Amino acid sequence: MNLSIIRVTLRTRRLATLWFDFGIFALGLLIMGLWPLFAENWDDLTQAMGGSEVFGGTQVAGATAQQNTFYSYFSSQYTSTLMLVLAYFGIWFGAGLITRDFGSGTLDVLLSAPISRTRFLLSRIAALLILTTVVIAASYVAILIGAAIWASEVELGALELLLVHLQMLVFTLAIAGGGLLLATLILQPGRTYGLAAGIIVIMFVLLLVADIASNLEWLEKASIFGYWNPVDQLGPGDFIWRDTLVLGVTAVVTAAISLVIFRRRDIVA
Amino acid sequence: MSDIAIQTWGLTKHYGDVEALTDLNLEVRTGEIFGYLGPNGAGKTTTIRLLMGLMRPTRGRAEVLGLDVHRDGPAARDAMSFLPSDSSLYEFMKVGQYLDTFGSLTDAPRKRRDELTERLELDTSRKIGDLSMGNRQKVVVVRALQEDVPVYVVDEPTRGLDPLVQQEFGKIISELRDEGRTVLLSTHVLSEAEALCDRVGILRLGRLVQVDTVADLSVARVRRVTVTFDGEAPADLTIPGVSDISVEDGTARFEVSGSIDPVIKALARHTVVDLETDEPSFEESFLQHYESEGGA
Repeated sequence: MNLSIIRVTLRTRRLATLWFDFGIFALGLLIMGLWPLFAENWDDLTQAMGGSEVFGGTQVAGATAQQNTFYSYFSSQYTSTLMLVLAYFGIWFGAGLITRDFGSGTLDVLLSAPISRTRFLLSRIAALLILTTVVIAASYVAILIGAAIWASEVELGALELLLVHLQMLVFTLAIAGGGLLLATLILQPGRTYGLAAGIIVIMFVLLLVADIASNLEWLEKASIFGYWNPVDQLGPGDFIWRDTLVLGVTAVVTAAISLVIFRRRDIVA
Repeated sequence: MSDIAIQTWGLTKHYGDVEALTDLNLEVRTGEIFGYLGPNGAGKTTTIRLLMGLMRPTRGRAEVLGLDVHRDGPAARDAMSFLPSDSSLYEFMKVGQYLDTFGSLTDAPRKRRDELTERLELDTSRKIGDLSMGNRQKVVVVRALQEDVPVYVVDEPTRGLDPLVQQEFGKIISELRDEGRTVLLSTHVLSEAEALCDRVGILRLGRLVQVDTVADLSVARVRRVTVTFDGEAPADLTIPGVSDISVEDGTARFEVSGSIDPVIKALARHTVVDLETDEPSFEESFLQHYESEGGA
């Protein structure tokens, strides 16, 4: 690890990350602020939808009916949106750890510093971890504040919410790891971002197909989005480790492969 | 300290079937400005990227102050400062922030940076994205030269700089040499190499074809000369080193290889209205010379 490289990385990303923080914080507060309005009209909305569950009917084992109503709302209005926002952030930041400096020519200068490539990339990954944590923390704080003001009757636990955000963190890191891996292979920013975005779109389509076609349900686990189920962590007692673990392993393995590739590859002008 | 600052043994780099650099055996002495000359695509930048550890050689090796640039990469790079030929700027930063950012990676002394920004008249409070091309290049130059290291590797450093700043850059580089530091200066501008360098190496098609002192370089140099006489041009322009003569009315055009002194002396016998010398491209001057000597 090299503190100077971490500082440089944080300095060059701080403004964009601040905007992400602001956007996610505002979104969290907005969704929580709208909850009382939806809760009051829940029965009318359910009737208007022909008696079915309004927002997909997320059910968490052991939760009360009122809590499950909130989870349905929270899942459809907040975490589904956040999934796409964090996927974008992951690609942008993960791939950008290398490609951004390659594109601006600053990678040459950074790598000509007396630091090994392993330490350089580990320092960059550490900066990624810091900034991603800050972004996820913005969501955690917003939901915690929003729950205290507008959803006190749902009794959202701080620890359960933390576990929700832990999964969000590893999900973002897994996507960032994939972006970083592509970046170390390709280097050029345009091609890397394009390919990463393409893969993410394909994975999202796989999730939709798995959702629609019952005989293709297995496709869900071929997509990284199939491991995104943060609301399930809100149930009392059990934290569902498996999906979070898969995301965590994905993040670590992609980062490790990126390191191996980056150590050996030529940085061609 | 070692007498040799930079040394390569059979350094070779291939990109697939393309031989970018072949069997480079180079010695740059400590405390000299070594000009690394060649046309675009000759392999200059490839050599520099190999020295900086940005690329791995296909075969061969290189050392800087006795440190292998790959095996002892960080230690070797600790002895070097690198000025790349391509832009290497964060456009959203202010100049001062940028210099601080990169200075922090190598603990570059602040005093040195302040001195350089003053000498090159660089305003550190301006945003890099708002700077002209020349000022951007000044930022890149200061970023590289602010580092207190024994070896500087600079690739096309004066591109975009106005002549006065080029002159100041030349003085700074010469001062570094006088302090005992080594400069590897890659350029395709002959006059720059002549003005600054102690020795030059000439690269062509990935091969080092010659290593000369600057005095030898001047002898090898080819100039294109246009002379306008008062009246008809003299019929006999047989002067040592002159070739490719064409005469039209009162104007004679020819090329001079090596010293221009015999030409000046021969022309002094006539009334000359105008005389222009033109530095031909690298290809036109050096390569003709080395091809004719069978050196390439």
